[in-house]
Amino acid sequence: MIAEIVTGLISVVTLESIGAIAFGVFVGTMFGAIPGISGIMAISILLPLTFYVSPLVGIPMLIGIYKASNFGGSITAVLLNTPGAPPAVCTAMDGFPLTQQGKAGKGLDAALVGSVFGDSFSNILLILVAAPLSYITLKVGPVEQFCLILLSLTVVGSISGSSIIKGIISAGLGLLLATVGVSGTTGAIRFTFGIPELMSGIALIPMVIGLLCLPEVIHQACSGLGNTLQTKLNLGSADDSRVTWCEFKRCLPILFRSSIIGSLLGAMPGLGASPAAFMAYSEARRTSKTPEKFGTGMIEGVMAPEAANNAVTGSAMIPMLTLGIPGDDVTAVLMGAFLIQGLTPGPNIFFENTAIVYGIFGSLIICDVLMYIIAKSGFKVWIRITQLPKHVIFSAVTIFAFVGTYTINQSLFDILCLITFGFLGYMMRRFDFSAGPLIIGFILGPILERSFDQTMTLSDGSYMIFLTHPFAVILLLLTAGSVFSIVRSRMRRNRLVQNLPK
Amino acid sequence: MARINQEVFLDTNQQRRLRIDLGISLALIAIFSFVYINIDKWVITNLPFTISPADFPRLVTGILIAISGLLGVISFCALSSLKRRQNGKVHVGDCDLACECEEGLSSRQLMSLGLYIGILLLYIVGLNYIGFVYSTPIAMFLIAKILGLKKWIIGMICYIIFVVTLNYFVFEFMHVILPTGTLFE
Repeated sequence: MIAEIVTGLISVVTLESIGAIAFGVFVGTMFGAIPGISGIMAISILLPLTFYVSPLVGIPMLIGIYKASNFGGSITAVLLNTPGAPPAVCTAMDGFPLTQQGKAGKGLDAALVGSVFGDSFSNILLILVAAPLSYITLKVGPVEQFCLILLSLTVVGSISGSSIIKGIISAGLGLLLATVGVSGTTGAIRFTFGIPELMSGIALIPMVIGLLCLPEVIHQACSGLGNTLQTKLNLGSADDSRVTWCEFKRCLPILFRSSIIGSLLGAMPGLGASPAAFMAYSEARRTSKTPEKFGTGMIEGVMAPEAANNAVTGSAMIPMLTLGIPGDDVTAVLMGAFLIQGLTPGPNIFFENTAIVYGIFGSLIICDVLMYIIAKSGFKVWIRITQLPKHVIFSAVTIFAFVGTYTINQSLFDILCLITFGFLGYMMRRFDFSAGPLIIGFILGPILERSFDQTMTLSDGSYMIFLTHPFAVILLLLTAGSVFSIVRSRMRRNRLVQNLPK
Repeated sequence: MARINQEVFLDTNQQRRLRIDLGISLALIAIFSFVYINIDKWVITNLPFTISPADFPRLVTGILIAISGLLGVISFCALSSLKRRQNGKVHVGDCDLACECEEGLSSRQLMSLGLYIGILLLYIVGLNYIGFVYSTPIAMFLIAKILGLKKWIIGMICYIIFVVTLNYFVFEFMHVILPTGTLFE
């Protein structure tokens, strides 16, 4: 395995790959830092670019965006008390007070150190665990695969927003939309309504960009927000603009604990980064000698949630790579990127595409190094970016969305799909339906249907087959357990939020 | 008194959301039921198979009908308990203003939504007839105006430079020709 990891690392030490990773880290940090834009929007806009480059350039670029955008969301949390994503809520609690004390640089550095540490920890876990796990998952047949996908749909629970029922409806709608076009198993033509462009089904990229990017632009247009408030932000004096070596040593136990929490929760489909961040923050406060100081500018209060929520990114890729199950909505879109490149995530990927997989593992290591360098050297740039006028950002986002969609098939029908899904995405957002589950249902739908058809063919239409395969029974019980734990973790998270200092 | 008014306002807001959820639930039940009834018309099979290609969409649609019904039931129950709780508190007169504000926001949102979608549709027409390089700066300008652009001359210059650069980048590096417009062919 060490030899394969080293070979993988060497294969990505090329100007193209490193340039792509650096570009991805820069874009991810920038998109995460701009209020109103998230990393998943950046990934969906740049997804079409991966068509034109090799997998060892395109996929590391997207991974760079994924990891850097988590840190980017923390920038607004620390500087503006406006978390870029729910996991950054805890970061804001101690990060913003640091900015108010004139130590914005220390807050940002603490967030960066926590992010890189948690990220590196979960990358090492991914590299060590993924390949051995794939040997076990090779034994999976269509019955087990169907149950696995059902388990993966429980990821809906963590990204459903306020209502799990609405999340399930979104996921079901995604499954239904995936049936449009020619059926992969039977060759039947379904739901095309005589439109020739629908014969190949609904394209993934216009849907992803439409659902994730355009609703935010519409929301900003509807909110009537003008220029961003131009407050003067100060990075701080020498010691106040960075985390000192003593402070880092003091926080090491918290960093390890938080990384373990994030890695464990990230590996379980259905839980996501938010519970990890909250649990890590709560644990840091509980084990601190001065818990009453949390909420007043403790760097432990910044590092803990950051380490946890970045630790989720690496371990969320474990179920994606080994089982073909996305750990969250971002890995679902990343899975789309793999599929575009002709790589099918699942147990066989380690045998059919060994060089590429280990190349991607190598790129994870390079990504962490570049993220630290790029993010650290650009603190003043990120501060400027958070203050860009919205009309500049969102008009550019709209055009990037159009161009990205058009470059797939050079078809104006795809643009029409983009606008339709943009409208649908906005209405879904307006009425608290989350778009992430729809995308997950859409990506997993064909796999679920194929395994369902194969299972029914094997059993001559009898559903008892699910009870005669022990591994399938275990997976069905895990699915039920996952649903229960998601509901419980939501209730616990609500209680934690109520108990945290204001 | 202020606290009670605030509670009534929040309850009224929540009632409004629950009513919307109930309406959405009924609409979804109607749509999915329509799909369920007509699935066989919309699935064209060429060859006989053990498993019908309509089975999976039918199963998913059936589950969606059930889940939508569940949403409706939960919303209805929550609405009933909220109304029971609200009986006896200070009533709606004090929160008319807040409710009017909500209504006003909705109309403005609808207008902005309509404007934005309208610009995008016009943009598609523009892409088809006059091409990417000419229609994009206009579209960007209109979108920026909705978002609060004030210095339009500087804006237009930046948008033109941006579009030309993007067009060059896409052609040189992605080898894709963006729409050139049928009027110029």
